[in-house]
Amino acid sequence: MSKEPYNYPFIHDVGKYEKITKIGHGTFGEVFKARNRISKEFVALKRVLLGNEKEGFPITSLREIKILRALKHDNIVRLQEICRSKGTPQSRKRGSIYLVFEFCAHDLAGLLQNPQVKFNLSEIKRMMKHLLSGLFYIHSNKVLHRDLKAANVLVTRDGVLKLADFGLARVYSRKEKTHCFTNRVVTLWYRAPELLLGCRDYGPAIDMWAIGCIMAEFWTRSAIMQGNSETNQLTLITQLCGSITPEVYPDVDKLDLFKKFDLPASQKRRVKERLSHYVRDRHALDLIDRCLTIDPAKRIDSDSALNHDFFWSDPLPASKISCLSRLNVSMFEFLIDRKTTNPQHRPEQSQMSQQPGYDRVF
Amino acid sequence: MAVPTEFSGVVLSLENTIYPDEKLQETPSQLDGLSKEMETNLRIAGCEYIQAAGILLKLPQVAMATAQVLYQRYYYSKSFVKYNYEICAMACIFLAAKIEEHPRRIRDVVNVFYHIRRKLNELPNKVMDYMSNEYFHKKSEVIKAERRVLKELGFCVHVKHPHKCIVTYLKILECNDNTELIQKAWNYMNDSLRTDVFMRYTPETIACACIYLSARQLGIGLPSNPPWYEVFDATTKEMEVYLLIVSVIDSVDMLIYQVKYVVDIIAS
Ligand SMILES: Nc1ncnc2c1ncn2[C@@H]1O[C@H](COP(=O)(O)OP(=O)(O)O)[C@@H](O)[C@H]1O
Ligand SMILES: [Mg+2]
Repeated sequence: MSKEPYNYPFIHDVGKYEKITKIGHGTFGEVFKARNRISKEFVALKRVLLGNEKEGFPITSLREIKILRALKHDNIVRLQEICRSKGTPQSRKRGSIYLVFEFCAHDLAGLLQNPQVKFNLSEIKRMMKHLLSGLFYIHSNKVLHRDLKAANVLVTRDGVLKLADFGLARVYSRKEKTHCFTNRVVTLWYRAPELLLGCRDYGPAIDMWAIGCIMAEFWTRSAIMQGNSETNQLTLITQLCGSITPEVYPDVDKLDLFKKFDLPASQKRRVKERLSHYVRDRHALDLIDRCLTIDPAKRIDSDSALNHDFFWSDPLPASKISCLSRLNVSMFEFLIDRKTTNPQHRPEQSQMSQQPGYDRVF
Repeated sequence: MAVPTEFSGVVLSLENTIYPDEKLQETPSQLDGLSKEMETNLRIAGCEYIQAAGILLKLPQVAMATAQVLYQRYYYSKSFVKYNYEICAMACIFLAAKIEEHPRRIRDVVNVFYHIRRKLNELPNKVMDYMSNEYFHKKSEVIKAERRVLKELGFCVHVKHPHKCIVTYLKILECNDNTELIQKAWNYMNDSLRTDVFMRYTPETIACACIYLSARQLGIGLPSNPPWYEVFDATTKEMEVYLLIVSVIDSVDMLIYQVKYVVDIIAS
């Protein structure tokens, strides 16, 4: 048995990095692009919000650190170290803690919102393969991501996708049957039906639902089900994936909220039909369809998805993504001013604002 | 999950950190002039506080175990002379509760320590004044101490406990039906937390030692040729040293019972 070195990683002052620009702002912290003053290497600094932290160091950040330290994979963003800034007693400013990540040039949401960025089928296959490989790795390590969406997928200049933002991630165990997890996870548009219906012992299938939503976005270029409330989201799901009934999802009537919602009945499942306008490849359509399966027990898992014909039929996944090397500015969702996006490129969005609450992407 | 991760040159894994003897001999507190005996007492007292508070906070044993390991480790980096042991004990249980996914309100942590202290000083029960300066001050001290613990331990705060090893090993030794043996080994393991064995040995070795001691006490024979524990990577030498350390535990038993008694009164 090897004895470990006893010295803990030193927590350096964040001053060793030079902040360049703010590239993200979320519920749990701000993100900056920064550069190591000595090695000149770029990093992303994610500040842990401690400002009005009444309960001390946030449990979500403790989880994020624990999980990121244990995970090491090409398709998972790499945590390099943890830094701190000292508080100044005069200004009564508290110090902060920063997570230091390898820097990625883009996030997927930013790329998909840019009409100049175009991906061909084989490039999409490559990116989906990266996404699913990362997800397979975390699921086999018994970690649920719980907040997959395009903005939490980073893309390096070399076209490698990396799962990021483990701020909501949790370890789960298959043995413990009665989880008491909160069901208020995952951004509404990517939230699986079982979560919306109040399920608390969910598993990896919730991440696969989000993957299905993200995959479709490679073609539709914006989220496919943009609900504005939980009820509305369920309605949108029903309109696309068919009515949620005990016939398609045997245990659904045991979920807390199933009877509370008055969901549209006898809706037909139309995933393939409605997406075929965007997604011409039949294997791609089939994979999306399997990810967007209502019953989590029947939804495809990451391993089966990686073995799906989509990845094993021509054209095969690309070895590089050509348009990225031509992009010389970073694409981050945060930096895109929605007002300046040309409405001609996004007809579905302008239509959207006129009739809230109705599914208009298709 | 135990994939080693590289951090600015230092290779780390989720396995527990083992200290070399020098580090255990020359502690920051002793460098500050504290006697060895006094330091041992403060270590035990802090762990007892944590154990008692954990019971009152209805935390699972694993949270108390983590808190005690964090507490012990912290005082190999920092001195008891400079950092108050009671505040640190509070911070450790508060942090460990979050690490083990059973978070408790800081208010409840402060309150429970307040009660234990009053009991120990034989003062009558009194509700803590949540508007008082004392309460605000304590709270902010605990939050600061939590940050210091995290910083000092480089955020390596996820402790691997030998509890699971005990269960696995007893299964392999085909003793997993002997509840008396399991319980005894478990108790030894919890008592060991008050010493520095967690800084000296791997969880696997500690698990072996706990089983060894319990089997010996109960007169249960385990394979000795070759010794069963070698299968689990523990060496005879390690086991011998461990036994010496555990004998220290017996001398602090009195203190343990004192605190347990107090907890019983409060809990009832
Ligand atoms: N390593 C990184 N490289 C480049 N950009 C990043 C990196 N990490 C985060 N970002 C950017 O910051 C945004 C927010 O970071 P994230 O980790 O998702 O935190 P939050 O919890 O605030 O959403 C991301 O959507 C992405 O645009
Ligand atoms: Mg995010």
